[in-house]
Amino acid sequence: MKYFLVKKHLGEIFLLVLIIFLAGALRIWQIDKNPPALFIDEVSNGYNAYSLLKTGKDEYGNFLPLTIRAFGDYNPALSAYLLIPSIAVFGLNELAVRLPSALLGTLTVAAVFFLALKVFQSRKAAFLSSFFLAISPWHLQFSRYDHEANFMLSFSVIGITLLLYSVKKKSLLILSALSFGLCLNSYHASKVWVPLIVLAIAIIYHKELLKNKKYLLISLVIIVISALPFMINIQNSLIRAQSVGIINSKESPLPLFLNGYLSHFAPNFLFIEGDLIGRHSVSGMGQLYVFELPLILLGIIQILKTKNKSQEMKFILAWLILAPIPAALATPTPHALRSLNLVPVFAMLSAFGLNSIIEFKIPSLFKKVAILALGFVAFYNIATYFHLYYKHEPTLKAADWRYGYKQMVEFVNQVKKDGQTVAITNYFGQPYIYVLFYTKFDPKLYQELGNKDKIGNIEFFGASWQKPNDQKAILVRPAWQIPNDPKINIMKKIYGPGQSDELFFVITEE
Amino acid sequence: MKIILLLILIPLILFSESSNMPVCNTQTALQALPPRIFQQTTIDGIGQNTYVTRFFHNKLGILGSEFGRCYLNFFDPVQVAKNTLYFGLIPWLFLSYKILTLKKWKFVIPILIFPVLTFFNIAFPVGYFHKFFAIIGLVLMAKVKIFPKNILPLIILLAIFLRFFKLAYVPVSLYWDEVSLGYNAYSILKTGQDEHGKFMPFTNFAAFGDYKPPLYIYATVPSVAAFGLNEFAVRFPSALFGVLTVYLTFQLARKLTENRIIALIAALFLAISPWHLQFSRGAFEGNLGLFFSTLGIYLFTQIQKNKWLLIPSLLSFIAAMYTFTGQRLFVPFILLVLFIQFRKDLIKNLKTTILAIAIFSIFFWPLYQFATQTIEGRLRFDEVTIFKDLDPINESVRYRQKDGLTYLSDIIHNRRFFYLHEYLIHYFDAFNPSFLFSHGDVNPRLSIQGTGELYYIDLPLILAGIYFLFKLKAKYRFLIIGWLLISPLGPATARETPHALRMIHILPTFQIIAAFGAYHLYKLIKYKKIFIFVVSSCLLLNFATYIHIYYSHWPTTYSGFWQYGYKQLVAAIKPHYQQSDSIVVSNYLGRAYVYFLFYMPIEPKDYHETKDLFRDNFAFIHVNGFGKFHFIESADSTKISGVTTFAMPPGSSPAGAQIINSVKDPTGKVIFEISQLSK
Repeated sequence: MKYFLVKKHLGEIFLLVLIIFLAGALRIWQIDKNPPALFIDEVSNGYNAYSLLKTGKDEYGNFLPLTIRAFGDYNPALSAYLLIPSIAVFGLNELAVRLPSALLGTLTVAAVFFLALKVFQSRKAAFLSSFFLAISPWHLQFSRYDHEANFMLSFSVIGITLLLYSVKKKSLLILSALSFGLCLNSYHASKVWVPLIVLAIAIIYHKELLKNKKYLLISLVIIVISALPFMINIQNSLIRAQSVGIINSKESPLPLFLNGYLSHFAPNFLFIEGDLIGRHSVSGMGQLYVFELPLILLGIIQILKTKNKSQEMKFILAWLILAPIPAALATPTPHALRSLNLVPVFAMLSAFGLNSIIEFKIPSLFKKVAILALGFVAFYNIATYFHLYYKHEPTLKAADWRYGYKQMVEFVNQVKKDGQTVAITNYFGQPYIYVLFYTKFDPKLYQELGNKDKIGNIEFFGASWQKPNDQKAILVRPAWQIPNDPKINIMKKIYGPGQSDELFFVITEE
Repeated sequence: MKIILLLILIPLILFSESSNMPVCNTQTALQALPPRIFQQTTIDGIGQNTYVTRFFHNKLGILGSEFGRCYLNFFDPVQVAKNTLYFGLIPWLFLSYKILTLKKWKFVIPILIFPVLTFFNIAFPVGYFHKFFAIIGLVLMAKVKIFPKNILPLIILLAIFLRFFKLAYVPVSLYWDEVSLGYNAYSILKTGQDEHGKFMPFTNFAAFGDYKPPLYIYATVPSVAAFGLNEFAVRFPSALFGVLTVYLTFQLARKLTENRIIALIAALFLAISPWHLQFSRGAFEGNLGLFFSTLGIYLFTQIQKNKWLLIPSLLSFIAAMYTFTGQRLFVPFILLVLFIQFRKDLIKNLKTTILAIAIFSIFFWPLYQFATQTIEGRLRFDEVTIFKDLDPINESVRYRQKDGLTYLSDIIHNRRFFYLHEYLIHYFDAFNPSFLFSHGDVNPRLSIQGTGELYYIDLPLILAGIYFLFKLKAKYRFLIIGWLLISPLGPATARETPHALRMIHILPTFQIIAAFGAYHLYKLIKYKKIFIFVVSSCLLLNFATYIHIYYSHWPTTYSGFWQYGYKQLVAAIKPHYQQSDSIVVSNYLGRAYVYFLFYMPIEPKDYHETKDLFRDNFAFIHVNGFGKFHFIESADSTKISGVTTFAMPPGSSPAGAQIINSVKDPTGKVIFEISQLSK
């Protein structure tokens, strides 16, 4: 740290600030429009945070809950609490819901700089690491919307960074433990991840840790206390594990685990196809850039080749090996979200690989050609990524993001007369939460109603809906449910974003 | 040593099933081209410079990415692992790492070109490429002395692999006892009571009226809690403790032979032993019992170092007796042998010894009460023992009558001598070479038929081992040989001998002796390399035959002995469960009820409330039905009302019933006909 306080190194401070600024810009720019719509989980998280802000209770009326029930997935509640400040400032909208994730993502980029500095003992590699993370498609994907996994990543990277620095400055250990505690309370996968990585740390750094027993004890107490929220609700905390875990699958769990684990290192997943779930990757791209393939390979080989590896390097290898385990314990695999902890390792490995190319003692012409070729591929990769992300993704993935709900709810809210019945299809899943969110429905009132099938005059239906009386009602259905009847008055059709001809909702009056 | 391992591992990799890769060639790439270009330009083409569109969506780039997809498929770690039985991935990576770091570019280039061949439809066995690559890596690893340093983890890995690979599928299905153990564990887990509603049984689980010892069931509770009620969960404790027994054998052999290499060989021999594998891969109480008795013996041998270990040692023997009935006639004898071997240490620490024996007695008492003082406890022993046979008495009487019932004849032809004679016949059966080396146990559940309980190559090694034990005056020869000789004492009281399961506690003496023999033969023989080659190739041939029969022939040939078909029957009936008023199942294969409890699965509480059972004269418990289910001998004896689903042997479905499904065994023979009748 002291290094940066010397005036001489102003240029490097500037460079770091520039990288962090770039990371922030890439994460915040157009965040409300792209991804094109708030996904169900984001809306649910946002509304729960709103409800907590206004009433101190979640949507089910639980006072200051430790887990958020949402749709029965019982996430650790931190994901909702983190949204409260930004919702208080910006109101209940896309920006407010996604901003915490973007900010924590930016913070992760900064943390990785210090982490890499400690691991590689090279400023060049550290700058490259944070730069690679700043532009990483995998990290950008999940920093640009509200998901607990990104919180897990941030807290675990910050915790690990503080821990590595605590060897020199002992009091940092407590901050590190706090960060791990927050991490434990951010996402389901972290219940597997935190114990694993803490165990790895304990094995690799046992000598250093045992040197200051006082701080170690305090840290352990902090971690145990932060494990309490899910230990108390262990029954609920395991629900998600039971629905996606490999143990409840019909196939035998061991090969399933091994295949799932290895699939996270499949080059096709990493560099060509990416996660097959629409929201998890940019279609036509892998989770990483193709040009990173040789760099990562080189980075790994360089680390393995190093004789008398430093503890930090051993730790990076352990991190790489452990990171896919939470994802491998569940299906489907490979899963970019549950294995999100891999991202900083890959960024650091790429950086280390590039750094070692620069430092190789090979003929300079050879080197120049190699770097030039790599630079060209890299430029093409990065340009294509941003083109695909901003130009194609909003249209292509509109359905994956549940596009249309916002437009539909806002339209219905505008045209419906007082007392008029509205019936909305639940064909696209959980419409009630969108109605609550976009009408900014009073949480207190909703907690009293507590009905997911009917909110005020708005009803939700499955296959078909029967009109209760003769009055005209507004109906919202997917296009294929509209009967071929000229008498029906079509009020509006909701299409995908931009010029898309993908039809989501048809609003009629009958 | 490493050659033996290599010779085992290489064929394992080479002959493992190749997994197929997704088809990927120029054609598929060209097919993928138009939709991608279309999809991307339709969004792109609006309001944008054509050159920008062409830059981002040129054919070359898309073809490149399609090509990359095929190319990288070749290096998919999942594919590599599947083709090399998972553990081959490590040498595979090792070889790749070595080639890259040692800058062997002449190897790198062909390897990088290989995947391109698949792209141009050139038939190329991708699986074999990975197999060979892994094997070369393995040999290299052996050469650079990576694994001789510590070979034990590899042996343990091999033991794990052999015990867990396809554990749920071979043996082909769960036999009665396995299902019963599993369901009792499930019942304990859900209600704290066994299947008959008894709360936390301590000395026995009544089950079918065979009064099973309790420990295996309690060991299965966590496994069922973790993995659910299925084949894997029921067999998991046995496989796990099987692996632990291999580790324990290493420790024990190291203590008994005072030689690390012999200990490693012994552990390896046990890891691949057909006898031990057979019982480690099914829910056999005997296998868990073996672990406890071996642990007991190991801890006993450590009392010189720490006298207090006597207590856990005796507790472990207690656990063995609470796990498997066969142990009850082994523990006293082995304790006697151990007491003689370690008499000096025991007398020196007399107080500890007395305390340990007192603790032992406290825990032994309830079991002793049950086994000797209750009808249920004695019944099973009486059922199988030769001493309840009347033949020796009749024989004795006949001889004495011929002799005119003289006094001398009373002595010579005393009935006790006849019993002794009978007993010795059964005792010597245990060392019957045909049982040990060529055929194995006659029961297809207890051995795979066609190979012995030991390998042929073990025969000379064991003989050599016994010779060297005495020649070299090995310190613990009395314990090893004593253990070997007293092991059949218990099983010999039963009619069916030799019996591999009841005598399982003889393991791992054979392996330790064989390892001892192998090591000292190696020391003695001049042509060491030839010796190693001959021994390991014989072993390998034996082992390969065994593995092949075990996985390819045995499951289908003897599926009936494993009650194959019940699981399929339950699966076939399940869809009709809701709509049927009653379900009638023929009991002609026996104990059908427990399979319905297990595979439905039925909540233990519901079963406790609705069960209908009776005890026969031999105290066996028969279940007539529970809930909607009725188990009967023949179809006519049922009164039908409402919709009834029948599961009957082929050809005996009730008249008028409509046949809707059938269940076949692996050879295609119908075992159950499912029909429906409504009135």
